[in-house]
Amino acid sequence: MSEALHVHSGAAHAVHHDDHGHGHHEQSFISKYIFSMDHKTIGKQFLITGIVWAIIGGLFSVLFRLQLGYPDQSFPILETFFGHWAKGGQIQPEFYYGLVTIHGTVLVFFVLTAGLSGTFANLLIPLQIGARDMASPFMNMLSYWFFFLASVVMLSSIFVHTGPASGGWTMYPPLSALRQAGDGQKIGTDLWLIAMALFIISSLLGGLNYISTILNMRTKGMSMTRMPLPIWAMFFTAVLGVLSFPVLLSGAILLLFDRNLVQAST
Amino acid sequence: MQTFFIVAILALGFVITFQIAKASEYVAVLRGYERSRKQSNKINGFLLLAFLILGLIGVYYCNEQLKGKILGEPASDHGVLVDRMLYVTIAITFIVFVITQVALFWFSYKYQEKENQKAFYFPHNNKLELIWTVIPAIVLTILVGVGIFYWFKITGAAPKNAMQVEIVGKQFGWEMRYPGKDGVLGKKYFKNVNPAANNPAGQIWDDPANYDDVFVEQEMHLVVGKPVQLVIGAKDVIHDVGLAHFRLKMDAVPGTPTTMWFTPTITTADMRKKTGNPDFVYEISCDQMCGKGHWSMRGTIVVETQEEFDAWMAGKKPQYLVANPDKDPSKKADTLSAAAPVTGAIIR
Repeated sequence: MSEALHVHSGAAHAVHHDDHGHGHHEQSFISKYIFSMDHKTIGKQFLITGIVWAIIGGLFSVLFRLQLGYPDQSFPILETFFGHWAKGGQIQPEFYYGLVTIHGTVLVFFVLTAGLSGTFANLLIPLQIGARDMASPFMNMLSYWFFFLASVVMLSSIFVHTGPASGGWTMYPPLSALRQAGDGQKIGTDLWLIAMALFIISSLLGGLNYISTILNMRTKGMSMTRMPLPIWAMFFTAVLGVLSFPVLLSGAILLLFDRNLVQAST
Repeated sequence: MQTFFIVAILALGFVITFQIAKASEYVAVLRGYERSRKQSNKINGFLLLAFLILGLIGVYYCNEQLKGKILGEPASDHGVLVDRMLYVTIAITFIVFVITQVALFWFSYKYQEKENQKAFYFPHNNKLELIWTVIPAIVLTILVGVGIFYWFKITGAAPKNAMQVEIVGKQFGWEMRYPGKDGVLGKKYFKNVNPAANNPAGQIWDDPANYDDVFVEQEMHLVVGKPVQLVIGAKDVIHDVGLAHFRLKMDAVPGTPTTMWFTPTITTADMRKKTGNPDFVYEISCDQMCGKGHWSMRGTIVVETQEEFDAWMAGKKPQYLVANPDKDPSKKADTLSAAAPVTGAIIR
């Protein structure tokens, strides 16, 4: 009872706070919670999307390890989840590799890179170095929405008829370059590459923002040597990302060209 | 129905957890915040200690349970070195693991928040930092250095008396080629690959070194105690020659031949006695995701004595004669004795 009262008064306080606004102009729901340029909201957006991906990726690993642990058993629940890809409660080999691939991609990129790095960098960098917000709030917003777009494309690849990309999360060509190599190398791999390209753009926008914020927007007295260690860690992560992701982006784009514009087989 | 039950169990579990959390919150309100905080601090300290002890027992139990599933004795000279390297690494890291984990959990229990006890402020110590940076750096450098030394040994030049075997991965199987009596693998060209014309390896028939090359699939025969250099390639996508019993693996990359050499030290027959498994075979497993049949891409290796190997090899016909039956001396001799000088030249 007292708790409910407390929550109520908190909400009332928030409304009250908004009414006065302290010099900020009124924000609509969309600009405040959806296309927000506030680093805290963007951090939360990254967090929620990252959690959703962690659940999906984690569930995949639970399901395919159920198959791996008891290869001779059949699990009707697998058929419930995956339909004809797990006929009779046993995951088909091709789809098994698809699950492993998407599990790896999702956890390495969407959860560890975006979900963790994106969340904590956005939330903590301005707070810990004493800046009002990121160097470019607009770019920060773009960074999240490119990630969201990448998520949508990646998610859609699970639902295509020939199955998701199944060449392993490292996507080594020529396996990933040849459509005829298997079902998972058809539209699933194209979608995977598009999703990754969008994701890399998102990470680059975010990383450039983190670096320029840390270098230029520290508060008075916050020298580089006084910076908290988490900020140093995120700074290094961002620098490494900016060094490596452009190469990865060109790799993804060239592979897309190879698959769709050039007949590499002749 | 089963699915419904599973979903129901998950939902109920969630509700129960939620209710317990809520109940403990109410208890905290009734008891007074400060007192319940101190109590939960004590409980957490105890749980950390319990986690350490149960965790270490779990590590030991797992090891006992799964001992039999660890790969047995390494069956090659390099395998012994690789195993030794792994055991040294495990020994060093295990010691560090036990010391740090025991310290971590024991200290959190021992020095938990108590009244009349103040934390000692200890911000920085250069000497300490230097010690715990330099010692691991030196140890890791030595471990990695030993690994690089073995790597160069395994991928470097094979001994002079080594036999050569070519192994090529394809979706989904392994193809081997033996150089025959001359000890030289004939030249090949990928556009010559034509299984229908009995030329699955793409051998160039103009090259005399190809005349005695023997082609086999899926099963490789090696001589015990004799070094062998594998010349590894791939026809379509990247594969990987994984030889778990010999503790070796090497990528098979299309267009870029790779090599590794080793000396098998235990024959298949001896290994069957040692393991007590009459069906034991050395396995070639594809260790690089290569498509939907990746799981089925298994070859075998038979390690045998020189006599057994020679007898096996004597039963094989060079692929040149399989592809060009008109050049086969055994058939020629039956029909046309006049062709004898020609075949003699071919066999050299």
